[in-house]
Amino acid sequence: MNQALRLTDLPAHLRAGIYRYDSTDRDFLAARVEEFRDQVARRISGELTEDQFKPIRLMNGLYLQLHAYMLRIAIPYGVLSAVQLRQLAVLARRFDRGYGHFTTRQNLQLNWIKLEDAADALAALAEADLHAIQTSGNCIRNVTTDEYAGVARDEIVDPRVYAEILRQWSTLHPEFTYLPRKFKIAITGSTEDRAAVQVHDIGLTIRRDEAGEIGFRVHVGGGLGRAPVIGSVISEFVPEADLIAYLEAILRVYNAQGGRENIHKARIKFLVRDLGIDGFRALVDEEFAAMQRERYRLDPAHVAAIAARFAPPALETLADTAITDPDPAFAIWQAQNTRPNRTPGYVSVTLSLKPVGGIRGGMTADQMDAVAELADTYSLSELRVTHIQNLVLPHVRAIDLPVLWRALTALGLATPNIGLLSDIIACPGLDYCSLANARSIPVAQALSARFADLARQHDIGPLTLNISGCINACAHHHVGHIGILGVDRNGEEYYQVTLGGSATDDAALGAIVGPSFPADGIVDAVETIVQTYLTLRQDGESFLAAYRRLGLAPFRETLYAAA
Amino acid sequence: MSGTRKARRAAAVAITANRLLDGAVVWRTGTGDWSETFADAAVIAPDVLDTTLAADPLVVGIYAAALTEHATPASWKERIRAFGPTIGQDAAP
Repeated sequence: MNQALRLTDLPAHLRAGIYRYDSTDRDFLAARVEEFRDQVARRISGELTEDQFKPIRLMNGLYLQLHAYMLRIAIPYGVLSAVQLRQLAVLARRFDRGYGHFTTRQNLQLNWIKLEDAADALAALAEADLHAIQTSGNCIRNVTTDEYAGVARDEIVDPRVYAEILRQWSTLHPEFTYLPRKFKIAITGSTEDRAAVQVHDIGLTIRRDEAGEIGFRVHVGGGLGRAPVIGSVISEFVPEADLIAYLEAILRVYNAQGGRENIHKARIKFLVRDLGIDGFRALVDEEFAAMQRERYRLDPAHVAAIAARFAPPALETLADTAITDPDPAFAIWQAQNTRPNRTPGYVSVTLSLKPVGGIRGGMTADQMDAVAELADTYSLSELRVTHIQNLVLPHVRAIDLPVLWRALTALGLATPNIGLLSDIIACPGLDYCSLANARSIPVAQALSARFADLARQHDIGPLTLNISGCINACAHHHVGHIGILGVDRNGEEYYQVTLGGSATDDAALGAIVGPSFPADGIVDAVETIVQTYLTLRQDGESFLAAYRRLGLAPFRETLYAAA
Repeated sequence: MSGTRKARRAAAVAITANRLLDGAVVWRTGTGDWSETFADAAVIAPDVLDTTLAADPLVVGIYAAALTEHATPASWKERIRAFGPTIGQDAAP
């Protein structure tokens, strides 16, 4: 790995909470890279046609976008080591243009990859125990989870253990490599859902029963895209031992009965809708009952072995103390971008990848290197990628916050806007994506500039704003408090607005406010929505709460008053 | 409506694709070569499309992009393909 170390070369205190590959993992990845190298060579020589090659490259995370190939790199459940982040910087410099974009699937996308370099890029990834397998295709994609897994105060059970079990189960699963359509699983282990489990094909919430035994509430059939659906509960409690068997039963029913003729009606949500949740459950129960359960039983020893790989880091015995700094800007940042861990004296720090006028989720290779250094110094060499397109340092001593804040400020990563209006989720949109109908990034940049006044953002309070460049909804616009969807009208960009979405425990789909707005009117439209809220809100009432009280009507009236 | 159907109704079209080796947007020139520069593209009448879309091993996804009467890309998508991301070619954060 060039000058970098493998994870296993690091002392234990510098590899906390990172799943560590063994020789089997590494041998497999090396073989897979060489297989792909041969496939690329056969494509370039003309032995393989594009129709033959396309599914192969997609299975290795390589898309062809508007201007170049794009490599989507899996960051398993968003957990990343400093070593791995440095290697991503190496890839960004060597194979791309010196930057990358973090996504709502907790992945990283490099937008300027050459086909002839693709195998070398995958080989470089493998050196850091990373890959791009199953970041595309009709298979089970990267499992996502809570960015505060393992450190959150409200956590019941660490979801990384089960996310890793699901990763191992789903990677190259021979039965589920050609599903009717892609399949996304999210898992949370806390009382607050920070993983948007209700809008995934399967959403898992870890619980304990009265005896303290671990199990899972299972949502199924959630999803966004052109037919957004909040998932239905198919089981309130699947015991830990049966997790794999139960998910296998769901996938089997979907694989056998899901639609394959119409790509737009092939996700599991359509099957659940057509059968009804009770009808779908009956088929899953039937399949589950017929399975050789012992064969799929999740062995407690195996769970314990996986859990050992996420052993709690060696932390100091500290007390929770108030941290202050003479600079008043520190207190604002501390309040907005940090949260206390369950271990006293430690906090999680969210690095905002959302500066004023910046590209949401974008990061330069130089920033990656610098953040890796900060992770080594302040966070036991560990980071998290959030589905909000930010990064988290999860193991920071609170007493280190002032010096860390100054370092992050110098890097442009300390904008105190986490959870505020300018913490916008935006997909790559028409500037990069071949599926997009309209641009997302410039709209997000313009909105962040319009609302650059942080005092005003803090006055507005918690507000999520998500912008997707097409109905595929990569930015989850349906579940933004304010959602913006780019549409094409005769070659021109227009933007449809939804209000009232939510991705957390009170998951809801936004309602379309009215006719869409032209590109030069969308920022003013958001301004009007915000002003309407500020005028009508009651004391302490958040945007979402005000919308739920008021409904669409007052927003429609102000938005379309001049029409 | 598909791109080709749109192109048939356009004032003019240019033949475009992505280059196999690096995915770069390329335009077919008057001599049958491929150029990364939109200005090099041959502007042709939509009614000759059927004879101009033959497969070429050097490129992927050949199609006709609709142009305006001024021989500029007719849609935002084709403008961005022709001239690069609107956030800059080196759109670092």
